[in-house]
Amino acid sequence: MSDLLLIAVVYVRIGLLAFGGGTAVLPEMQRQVVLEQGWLTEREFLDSYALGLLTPGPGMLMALFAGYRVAGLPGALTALAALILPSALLSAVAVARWDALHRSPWLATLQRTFGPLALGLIAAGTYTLLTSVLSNFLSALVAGAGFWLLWRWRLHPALVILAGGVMTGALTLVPG
Amino acid sequence: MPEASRRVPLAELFLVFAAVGLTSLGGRLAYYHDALVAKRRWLTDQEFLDGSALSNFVPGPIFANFTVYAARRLGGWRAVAPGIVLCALPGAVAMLLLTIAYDSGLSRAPAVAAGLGGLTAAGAAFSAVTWLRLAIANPLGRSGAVLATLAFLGLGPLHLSLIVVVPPLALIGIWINRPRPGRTP
Repeated sequence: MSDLLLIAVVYVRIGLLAFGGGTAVLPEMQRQVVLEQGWLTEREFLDSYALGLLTPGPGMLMALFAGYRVAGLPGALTALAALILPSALLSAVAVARWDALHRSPWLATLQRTFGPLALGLIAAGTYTLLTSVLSNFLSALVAGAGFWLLWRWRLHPALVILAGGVMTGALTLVPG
Repeated sequence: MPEASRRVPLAELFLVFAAVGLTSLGGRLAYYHDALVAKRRWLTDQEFLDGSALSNFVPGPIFANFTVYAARRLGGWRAVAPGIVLCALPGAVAMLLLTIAYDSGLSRAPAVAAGLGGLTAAGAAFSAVTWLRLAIANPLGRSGAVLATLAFLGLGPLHLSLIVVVPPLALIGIWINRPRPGRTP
């Protein structure tokens, strides 16, 4: 299978099964790009997640990182299209049928099913991140402080995330 | 869905999509609420909630799914494709540039490597807080809790594939929650 086709297959599958947004797909992305395909190392995968935090727009843009690594610009664009287009098409179908769906008892069925599933997937994504982060004392400290600032003081997430990156990076510049 | 209740001039709509695509760090729907509901009143709160619900139960990036809903609602079908491009392109370009910078050797600088670790750690904290808030705001019944726990165990500690975990659990959930006479929706 050509690289581009493989990228498309991997990300279409991830995009079409990803309920709950960016965090929810982390375990599957990690499994695919690190363990199954070997496109990235564990460290590179976490770094691509970190870079994704710095970009605006849809979550999951970290997929471009692996796509670029495998096949350059065409690989990155294939990853982007494979993630977004199939679900955008499904959204268009759902939007077109929204009135009928909105009145249907099946809407409650879908919400009662995919709500909990999404919650479980987000928990799995958080678990994937935390198991990596908590193995390092400094990272664990930043995660703990970030959690407290977000939970207790409800600071803007972008502010806390950027501060976490900048302050941890700056610590390496302190002599001694 | 009926034809958009209030059509917005396409140029104006595309400008807003481009601005949201450019500034929405983290891709949260709150940016859309601010741009389309709070600032311009192009969508009502109820329309926003409908779009949010739809975006959540369709798989894929929630932000892009909501873009389809808002573009259709405010500009008709012809606004959908440009809307997706405008919301995703700035982030995609930024991600590409960051990837190229990373590959150029920047990631080997100790401060950059440590900074990326700090970003990941703070991102993990944000994910944990988001999950906790969602779990508190949406208490699950017994079957919902079982579905959520199985999805967590399968994808998390057991490292199973999405395709092994999600379709069977979705089918079980749909069967358990299927409409039945006498059951309130």
